[in-house]
Amino acid sequence: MMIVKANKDACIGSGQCVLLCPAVFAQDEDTGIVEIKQVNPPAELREAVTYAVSQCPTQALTILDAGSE
Amino acid sequence: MSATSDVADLGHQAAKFYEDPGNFDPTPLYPILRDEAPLLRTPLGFFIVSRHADVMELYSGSRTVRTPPAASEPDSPMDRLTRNFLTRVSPETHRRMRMAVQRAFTMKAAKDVGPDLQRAADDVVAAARERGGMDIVTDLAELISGHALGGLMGIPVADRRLLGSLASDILSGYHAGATQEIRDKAEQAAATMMQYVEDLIREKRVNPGPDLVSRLIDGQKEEGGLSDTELHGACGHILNAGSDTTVAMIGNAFHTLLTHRDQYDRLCANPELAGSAIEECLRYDPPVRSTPNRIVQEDISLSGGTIRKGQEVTAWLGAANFDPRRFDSPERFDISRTPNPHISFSTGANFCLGSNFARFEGQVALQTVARAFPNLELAPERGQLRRDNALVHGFASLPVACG
Repeated sequence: MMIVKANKDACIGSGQCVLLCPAVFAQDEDTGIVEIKQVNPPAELREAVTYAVSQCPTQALTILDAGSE
Repeated sequence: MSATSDVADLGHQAAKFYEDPGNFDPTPLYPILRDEAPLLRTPLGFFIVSRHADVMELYSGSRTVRTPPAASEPDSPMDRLTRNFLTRVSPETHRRMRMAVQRAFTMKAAKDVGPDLQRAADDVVAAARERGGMDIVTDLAELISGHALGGLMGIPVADRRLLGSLASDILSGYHAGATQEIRDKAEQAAATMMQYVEDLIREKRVNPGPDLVSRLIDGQKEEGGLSDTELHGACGHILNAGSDTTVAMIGNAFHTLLTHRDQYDRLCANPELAGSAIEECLRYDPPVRSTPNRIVQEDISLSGGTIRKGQEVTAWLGAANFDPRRFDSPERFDISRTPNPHISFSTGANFCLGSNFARFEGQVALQTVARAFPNLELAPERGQLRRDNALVHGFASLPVACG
């Protein structure tokens, strides 16, 4: 199972993740900072989540595979 | 073969892009730089990085967050205008300023100006239908961009033209390769822009509105709020970066689509592709082909070697967008390309602040025109005009016939 984490101190609110995978990522409407809607997204979203994470300009997002920590 | 002299020659060729951007097409150099000199030293004293993976590595985090001072005398108008731009302040200040302004640039904020943009685009299309043609840049792009910037900053739509012209002169003078004549013009424009920013802030202190400037003023008394000089810097930065770039994006997008007819026809048949189409247009012909220079804050290893702390570097985004190491068939223009990890908004801490607005403006333009004019074509007999400087690459005029 995958776990999605956001480092809000690194986030600059670019919204790339929201654009690429709106099922999992959202932006705080006031600050623009990332919000994780699904911390454990289903397997069928893995590709979209992985791509969204890779496109974050400040590497504020990470994917952990449960058991890997 | 003498690799050293070949690379030195490449450096001289690449430098022409900065010395005469209006007349020098850098695109033939892209594959040569990527393959033979992925970290190229130019005779202008800075390096060029051209591979996609290297740009990602170089700009990631905040290791290259700062741009060097403008090519100008200390305390000149250019220096005073730009010294508090988000790209010139320290990484810590950058973070605080970015946090203060970015809330005005969320996707939701972009969509809030949507009805206004749509009305503006609809009016342009109606007028074009009557006349049988329009100018994509002066009739459509400038108006859409003017409405977006006007709504954001609380300024008259008509001011965009003045701001666009000032920004163009300022950006031309910003780069290391600029001639004295270009720099003199930039200084004049910077003085006018500074006055505009001062007047704008004074006006918003008296008559606040639902705009970013008023909100930043209101936030000054809170923790993390902007100082007066930072407020000037942020407003100057946004007016400078937001005026010409989106206009160039829309012009370049239509030019690319209309020179790839099958893709324009596809868009007309499927206007819902406007979202991915604008991404592909951004990849294919980006308004910013070479980022403002950055100062490297720590040694960074790239595929062409190590770049050292204190050295200056730029990224050729256009070259990275065509890197076959990252894109399948990069030469193919495909409005449904997925994934499309282009870096036309750059990457890292200086990722384009206005990307959500730009994307939205582009989508409205493409969708509205594609719905109305399936027979749209370039009207070359009425003459296209380019407007290129070392930072922004676009058209000043792009006439089309509506069919």
